[in-house]
Amino acid sequence: MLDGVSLSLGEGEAVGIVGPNGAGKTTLLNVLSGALAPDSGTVGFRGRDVTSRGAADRCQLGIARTHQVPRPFIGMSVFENVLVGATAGGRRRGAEAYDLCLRVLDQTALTLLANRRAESLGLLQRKRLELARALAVEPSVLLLDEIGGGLTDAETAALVETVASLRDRGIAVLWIEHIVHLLIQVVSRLVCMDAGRIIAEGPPDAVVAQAAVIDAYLGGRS
Amino acid sequence: MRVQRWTRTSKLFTGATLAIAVLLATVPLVFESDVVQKLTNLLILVLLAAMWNALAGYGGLLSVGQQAFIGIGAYGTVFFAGLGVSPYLAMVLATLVAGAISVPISFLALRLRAAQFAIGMWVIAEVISILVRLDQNLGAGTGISLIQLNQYAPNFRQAYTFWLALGFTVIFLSALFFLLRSPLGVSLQAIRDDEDAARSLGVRVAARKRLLFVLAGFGCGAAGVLIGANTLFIEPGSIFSVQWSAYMIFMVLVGGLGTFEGPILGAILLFWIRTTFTQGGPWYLVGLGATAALFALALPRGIWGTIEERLGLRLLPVGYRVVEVTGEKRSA
Repeated sequence: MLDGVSLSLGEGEAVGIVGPNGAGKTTLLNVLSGALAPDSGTVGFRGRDVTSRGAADRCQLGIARTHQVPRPFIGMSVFENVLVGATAGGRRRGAEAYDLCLRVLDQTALTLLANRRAESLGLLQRKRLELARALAVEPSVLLLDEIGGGLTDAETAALVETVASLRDRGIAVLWIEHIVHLLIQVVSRLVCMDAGRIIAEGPPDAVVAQAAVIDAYLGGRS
Repeated sequence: MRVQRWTRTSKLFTGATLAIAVLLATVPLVFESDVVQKLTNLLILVLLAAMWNALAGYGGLLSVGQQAFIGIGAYGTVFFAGLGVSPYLAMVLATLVAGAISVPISFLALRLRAAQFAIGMWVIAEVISILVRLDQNLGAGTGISLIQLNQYAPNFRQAYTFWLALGFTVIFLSALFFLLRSPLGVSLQAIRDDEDAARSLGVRVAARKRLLFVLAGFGCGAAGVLIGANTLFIEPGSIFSVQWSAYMIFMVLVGGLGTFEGPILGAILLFWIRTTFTQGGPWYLVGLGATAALFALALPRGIWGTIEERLGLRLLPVGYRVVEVTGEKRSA
């Protein structure tokens, strides 16, 4: 459930979203990616209204997402999973698509698993595959839904580096994550949601410091 | 690191498949007409299995109404032949009509989801069956003979029908093969595995499903044409029978849903069962049902799916393999 949410994302900007479970974070992401149609309000992309466009359309325009609970194509290999993003969403063909996929697999440390059936992957590998498929679209907007959970320190550092490099290449990143210290290494703006509304927004330090956030989110966890 | 599509095994096997197709073309020159008729039946089963697999195995479309197109193909042949068109040309026209009709039907049927779609297709098949029963010119409920085929001597007729069956089978299986090998191939498999996730990666799910639906419409229409030509007599009760869907489901589930090779294997198995247990009767159907149930429980991937998984074997190269990867195997 979303209520009067207004959010904009600039080129090369990384924005983090935090909030308790049920705050509407994933719902917001579903509305942005086209998986859910809003009852009212609009979604705009590069000056045009894309509210009526379906998820496939929006992906081809350059809005890619990951899923909080990974949804691999279990009957296909890891490479073939990524190839879907490159060919359907990114409209790449042949050798161009293959090279892109191999690069993305390398970037997400999945190269050694390239020929594995996705069904046999563990949860963390599946999360990496979610990211890899979205990257193969070569998106201009990347919507990430909790891809950082359960990682080791080294893996966390690598993920932060990956997302930061995407941001520096001009990709707009919207990242939902429970792990705030991970988010604030990458994002320049933090949005805190609760009960379908944005209750705080601004520079990460300021938002973290806000009492409302502490009540709604940080306080609820300690 | 590079991407490989052909392996030595798949090159050998694809070559062998082509050689078998060429060899099959000589069957009518060598064998008696009853053998030719049986092999025509086998080709029809292969064609039907491949088309149902295209729908269910790649589009996730579980249809129990493909007999609609089988019936349109068979009755279309009678209709065009009745207008004075040469019988074999009538068969080609009837196939085209069945395929063309699948386009408007797709706009109706593809609005339905899952079980609704399955039952919806069955209803569509029944409606078309009823329309045929109302038409006296098509023999109404009692059926009609394809008398125009009597102008050919039985040997020649059987040979022509066989060649047509071989041609149709090669055309439709090749179409599916090249579709799966094309850049659209991974999109179709993605729809099979998770429709919504496919959509989120830019796959135009509705358009791709329509493509498969129309391909299966043409293919099942072609199979119907061949069934009519092979039996020379059709009646709505059997040509529009849901039994065709039961056969298709059996072949695809036992052979391996969503694999290219599996349904062909399933068709050969069903053909063998049908020639071995010629008495038919209720126990035959019980046996078929029990076998399908057994496979669903013990080997959910079917024969070919299990082989492919255990041995990492791919005979027809519709997949991709990244080579010079150390330490991991596909089947690991």
